[in-house]
Amino acid sequence: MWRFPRRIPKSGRVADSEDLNEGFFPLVAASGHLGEGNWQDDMSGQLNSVTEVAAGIAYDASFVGNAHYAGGPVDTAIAGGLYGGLVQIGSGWTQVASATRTIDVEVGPVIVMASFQHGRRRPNNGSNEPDRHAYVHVQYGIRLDGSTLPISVVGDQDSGSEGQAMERGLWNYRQGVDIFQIVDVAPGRHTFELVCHAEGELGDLEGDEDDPDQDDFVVIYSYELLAVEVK
Amino acid sequence: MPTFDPFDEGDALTAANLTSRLTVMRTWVNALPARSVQRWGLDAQHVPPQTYGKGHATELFPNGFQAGSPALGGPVGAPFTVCTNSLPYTAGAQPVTYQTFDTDGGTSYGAGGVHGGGWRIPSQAAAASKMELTFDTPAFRLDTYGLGLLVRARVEVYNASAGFLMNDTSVDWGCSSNTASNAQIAAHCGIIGIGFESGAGTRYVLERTVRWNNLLGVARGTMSTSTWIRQTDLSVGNGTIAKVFGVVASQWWAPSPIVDPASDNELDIRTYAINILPIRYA
Repeated sequence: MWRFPRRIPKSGRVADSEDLNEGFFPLVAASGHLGEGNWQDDMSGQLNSVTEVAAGIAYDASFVGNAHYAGGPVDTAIAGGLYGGLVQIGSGWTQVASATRTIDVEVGPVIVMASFQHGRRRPNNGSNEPDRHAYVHVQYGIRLDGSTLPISVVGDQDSGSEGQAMERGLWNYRQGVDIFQIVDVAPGRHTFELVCHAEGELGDLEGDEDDPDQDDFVVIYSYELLAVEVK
Repeated sequence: MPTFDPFDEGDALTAANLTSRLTVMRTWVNALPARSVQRWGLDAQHVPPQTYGKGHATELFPNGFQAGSPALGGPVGAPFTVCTNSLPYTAGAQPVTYQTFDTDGGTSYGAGGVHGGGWRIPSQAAAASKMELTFDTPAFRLDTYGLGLLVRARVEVYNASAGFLMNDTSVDWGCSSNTASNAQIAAHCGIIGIGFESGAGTRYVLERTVRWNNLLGVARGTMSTSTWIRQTDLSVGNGTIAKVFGVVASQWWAPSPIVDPASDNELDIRTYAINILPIRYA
């Protein structure tokens, strides 16, 4: 480790020019390579540092089935792979597409950011029928190592019912959603997922909720999931 | 090498001549380029904070890590119409990863007409109230410091007039009819996104940040979106970044067979903000 100056003049001593000069020489002649080897190996925990240890953002351009131009046939073209993800209604907490990040945590905590385009409900026949009642509630959250974090959950839990002026679910059609969550985890490897939970049923074309399709979906378009450790 | 003036035999040791030499050394050490310090030569005090905030704020963003409406910390500003039917609509076209906009010479701030892609960067009258953060270093490269940018933008939706007609009381307006009036229930959207301006002056909106929000006519509330901008994003331009901004637009959306209600999808907003946190990473 550097000591600069190498010899510090002290009161009451006769200063020797050689000593003084030597104190400076290590810096005068310094050259080397600054890299990981330059840092004390036990210092990382002392820093106000953030490390992204995930490989990147769970975002795939091939899945940009955004609402941006979705008024036309793009919105119905499942075969084109334009949906970010489909979550079947009634299937419990389900990972959205490939929105998962696994990171090795040294100290923690971890900042988790999920930002995505909630689409809408879609019947299982692939059609794009807009006139279907949607007595469905939709929630999103962050799942840590297989368990959904309740504190991260956003959305609504009331599916509404026939006779109301409109469906009570907050997110009938397009809705941008952000989740920021600070997660305090133990050191080690952890997996974070963006998950969706949809319950309820879509009515039929006449608005009769007693005749639902059982395999209807919630559609999620562009999404981004980031996990960074703060240490 | 630093310019070091060695002590000669017989030189008087004074505070001044010692300090001057120490100053030379200090200046030189502080200016050391990477890969110039010996192994194990640094400790925690030498390492810059990797959130790139503490002690560095003025280096990247002289005015701080937030920007937005005057209502931030001050009196609430007046709502203003930012756009109407602004976003071009191309049925069936797959969006691009990075949209360019305002390449036609139009101004992109505040309210305005439809041009340059239809996006507007919210801005009240004061120039300082733009929903935009400008790097202190023009043509900044994120990989110079191994940075990523955690960005969040949000706007207060004050009014989303038109595009919403509950004039047909004969139907349950859960979109149970395909009439044009009901179509508008689902149609009107406020749209928000995040973009950056390259060092060459070209604006790009990140498609992954674009969020459409069905506002159901007169709803008030918040639209928000977030992203993580990396150096790889900048390659769509000239590899550098000069500004980060939030954008809004308005347009209708509804699944087929609903047709364009041909109404004015006006978006009024009041407060707005963009926040950024530069983070050093791997």
